Amino acid sequence: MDMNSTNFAIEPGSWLQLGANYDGEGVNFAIFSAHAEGVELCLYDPSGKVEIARLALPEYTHEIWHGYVPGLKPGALYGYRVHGPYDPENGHRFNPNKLLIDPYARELVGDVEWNEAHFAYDLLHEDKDLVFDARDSAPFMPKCRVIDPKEFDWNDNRPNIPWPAAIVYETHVKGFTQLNPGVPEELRGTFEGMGHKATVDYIKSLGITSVELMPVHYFPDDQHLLEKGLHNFWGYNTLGFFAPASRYYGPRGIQGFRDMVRSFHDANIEVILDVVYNHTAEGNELGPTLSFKGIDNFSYYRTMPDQHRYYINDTGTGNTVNTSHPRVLQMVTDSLRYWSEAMHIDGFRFDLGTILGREPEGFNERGGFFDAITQDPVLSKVKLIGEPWDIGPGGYQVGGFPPGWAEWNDKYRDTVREYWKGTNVSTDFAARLLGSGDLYDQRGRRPWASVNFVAAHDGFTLNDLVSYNEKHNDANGEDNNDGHNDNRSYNYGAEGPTEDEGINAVRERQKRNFLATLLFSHGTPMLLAGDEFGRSQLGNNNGYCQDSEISWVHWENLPESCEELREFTRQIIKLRHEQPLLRRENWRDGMDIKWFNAGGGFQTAEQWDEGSTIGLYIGRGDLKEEEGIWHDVLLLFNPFEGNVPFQIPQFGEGGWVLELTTSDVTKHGQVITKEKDFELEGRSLALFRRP
Amino acid sequence: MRRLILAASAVVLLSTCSDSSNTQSDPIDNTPPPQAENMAPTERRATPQSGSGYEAPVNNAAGATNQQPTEPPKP
Repeated sequence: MDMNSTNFAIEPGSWLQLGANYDGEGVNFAIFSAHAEGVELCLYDPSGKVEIARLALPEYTHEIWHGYVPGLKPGALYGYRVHGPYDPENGHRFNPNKLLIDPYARELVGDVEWNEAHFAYDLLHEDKDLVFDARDSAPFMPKCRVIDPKEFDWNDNRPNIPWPAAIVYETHVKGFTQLNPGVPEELRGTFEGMGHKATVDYIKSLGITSVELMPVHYFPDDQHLLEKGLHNFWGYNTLGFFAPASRYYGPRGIQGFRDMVRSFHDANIEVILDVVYNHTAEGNELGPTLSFKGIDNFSYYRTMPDQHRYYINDTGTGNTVNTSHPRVLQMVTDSLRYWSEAMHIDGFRFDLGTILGREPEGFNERGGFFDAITQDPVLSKVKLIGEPWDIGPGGYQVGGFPPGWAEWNDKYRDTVREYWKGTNVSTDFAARLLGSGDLYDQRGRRPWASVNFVAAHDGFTLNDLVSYNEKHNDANGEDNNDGHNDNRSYNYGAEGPTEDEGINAVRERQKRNFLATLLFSHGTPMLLAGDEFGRSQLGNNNGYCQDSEISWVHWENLPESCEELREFTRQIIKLRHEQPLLRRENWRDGMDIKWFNAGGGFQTAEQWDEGSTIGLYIGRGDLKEEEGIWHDVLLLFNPFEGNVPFQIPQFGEGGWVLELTTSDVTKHGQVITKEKDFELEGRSLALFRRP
Repeated sequence: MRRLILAASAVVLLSTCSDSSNTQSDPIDNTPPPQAENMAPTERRATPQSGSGYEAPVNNAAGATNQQPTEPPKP
């Protein structure tokens, strides 16, 4: 059918599949709304500027409005207008003057161009959102595009990396590629740049198995940021749960996303998406009406009991998605299955994941969301990583997610930071190093359930962790009031970059200590992109609005120390891949674990309390006969400033050989016998193996 | 900066308290229990959320959290 034609018919169609679905002869439209009184489908010409048809969906079945447009093809642009009561005090905000995004739209064309018309209420009236606004928002809204997800020939092999072998690399499509000289200029900042050979080869060269992309679902820029000349860089502000963020499109558009995934798969690297189902871009009661608010506000969002005008805000962003509603829960799981099955995504990291397990009475690891995922034949088999907290009551749930899930472990982050800063947290450090069994050794959960990290997008980079005592977020325009204050960082004598060689040497050593601790810990290591060579954000620990050189990864004109750190990172990742002892699969593998003091004896309770240099022996007899595989190793840790003569525990045969030490990356091969102590330098870690 | 304190008990010989032979049929795990306040799940502190860059709003008595309405955008 000619998309400029205005002669469209509409038939009853089917309610069975939500969204706009092409069957080869036409498109079926189906949209859930339990409280609407009518839904109009608006079709647009290819420019997206001219409405060419407005068709009332003729049928309403099981709370789903639906209709079928014969002859309509992929590429058609559309949106909805939804009729119903405008009654905010009872939770309803219908306003057919607002063009609305289909929650199931698989592609969105154009941006949200901020305008007063986006608001369903009269902005100037003293009663605010209680007063209806009749202005048409269509000229300022992106349009949904019908696509045929079956048209892409994948021809890829999914990596299916076993959890114990996974090394996660958190990064950002634009931030990682924007300044990369290896990526052609026209592809920088795009999905195609992320999937470019230069990008993939680099990540592969590090030994990474799983790339975790910060949000790539469609998101608009926040109006308050645009007014300050800033942009939402991170993207935790979703509007389209099925649509890729078109801001990352390159020349091949949506195909570029699939090209990227296939490129990573060809290199045997998984792609994990950071997904944000906990809230939407529509804000609180004074926010815009872009989609869900106008389709069925009372169903899609959690509202305050007895005050349905207001939203429960356990996310800190103004609203909370109501996954207690079966159709909303269906939207989330349909979205996840779409990304897994049609876009070949290998796993998900759930932003503020606690929100998804909330029921009206609070968080419940047997809540509807978790039950739905656990029984799902597709989703239960992909990598599932929770950010196990939100800011609502009882929202801190580290260790509280159900079997099948991995979790970001912020106890690991905080304890490891404290330990290398010199604070006595040795007992806690021991637990974190060994996979946080206190949190995860339950109900058959494995060590990999602990996603260990020292730095992530949210907070200081590794370099800044050892270079700044305080955050420096002035560029965010909030008078440095935003971002975390509890960073557990230390600058070692100067705030920020310095020419002092002594300070810089300590900082480099501490970076190696953090990286080696991360890679030699049981659990799943997650590395923040660029930390492998000391990327800085100049002390900004909340780069959410910095689509700028503060957040972008710099690749050129780096000091020699950056390349040295990168090589060190490659070395320790390689060791982790090669040696099963460093990536424990099972709590009950018969592993022998012993902690020693510097005198060579077992660490006593008093010594744990006092805080001291410690040694860790781990061994597995079943690995003895395997060629090239270590059956036992010894790790020594000295977080203090001074050197310590460490009497190496001697048992078994052959003594020990120094594999590496963070005090001097060129030093290795030293053989230690009973008669000789090892000089464990201040603020260093040493790894020994058998000869 | 803290200095190492070498405990007197460091002189305890390994052979008196661990496997002195090559066989390690009795695996030992002398990892101490982590600090009690770090047992999960706990609500001892709220970890800030990703993305918003705002301070956490105040909990209300209803058991949910309601951010105070902000001023509408300037026309």
